Amino acid sequence: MNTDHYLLTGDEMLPVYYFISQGSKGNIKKGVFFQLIDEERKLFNLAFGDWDESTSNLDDLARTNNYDTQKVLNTVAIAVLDFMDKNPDARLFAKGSTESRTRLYQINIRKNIVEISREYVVEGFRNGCWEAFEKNVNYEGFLLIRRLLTL
Amino acid sequence: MKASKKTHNEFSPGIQVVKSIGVPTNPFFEKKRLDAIRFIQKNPLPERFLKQISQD
Repeated sequence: MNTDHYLLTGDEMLPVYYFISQGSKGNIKKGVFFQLIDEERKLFNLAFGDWDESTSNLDDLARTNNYDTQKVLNTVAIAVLDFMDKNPDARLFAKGSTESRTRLYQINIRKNIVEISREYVVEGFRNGCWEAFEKNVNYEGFLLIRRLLTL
Repeated sequence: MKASKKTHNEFSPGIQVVKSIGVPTNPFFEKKRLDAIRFIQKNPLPERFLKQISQD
């Protein structure tokens, strides 16, 4: 996995991570939030965007244009893996705020699917069905769950 | 062997812990959560995904 990423900080109380995107547009604080959407099934939603600390506002439609998309996505991926590591029973749902952002998630999953699949099962949603993630298919959303090791 | 569970404060090496500043208060944040709930209600998780998955 490409490891060029930003330094993450983690909230002491909440399943939240922050980092600073640095580029030509300046320093932009980003937040990666894991929202519980189904307590019984331990299903969380991935919410990610620009974080305005002064207003506690998360904007997942903002276009930073800091030319660091890959580094940002790598950092989000590290936050996801850390969250899943701390919450091995959790299931994660992810869907971009726009189709193009969902495509970015997909491209990054595809790039790292071999490594991801060692520990996690990935499903994609398309045409009204969930199915095992395949590299050359466009999906509308994704699910991630840790494999149960039976060693 | 089931993966061990870390406590919430136990982050991976390299991840610094910061004082909690709370969750977003804007309605958009809650809308995002509700949208995700609606998506999953409309498109339920596959049965195989709900079971614990064994690694061969």
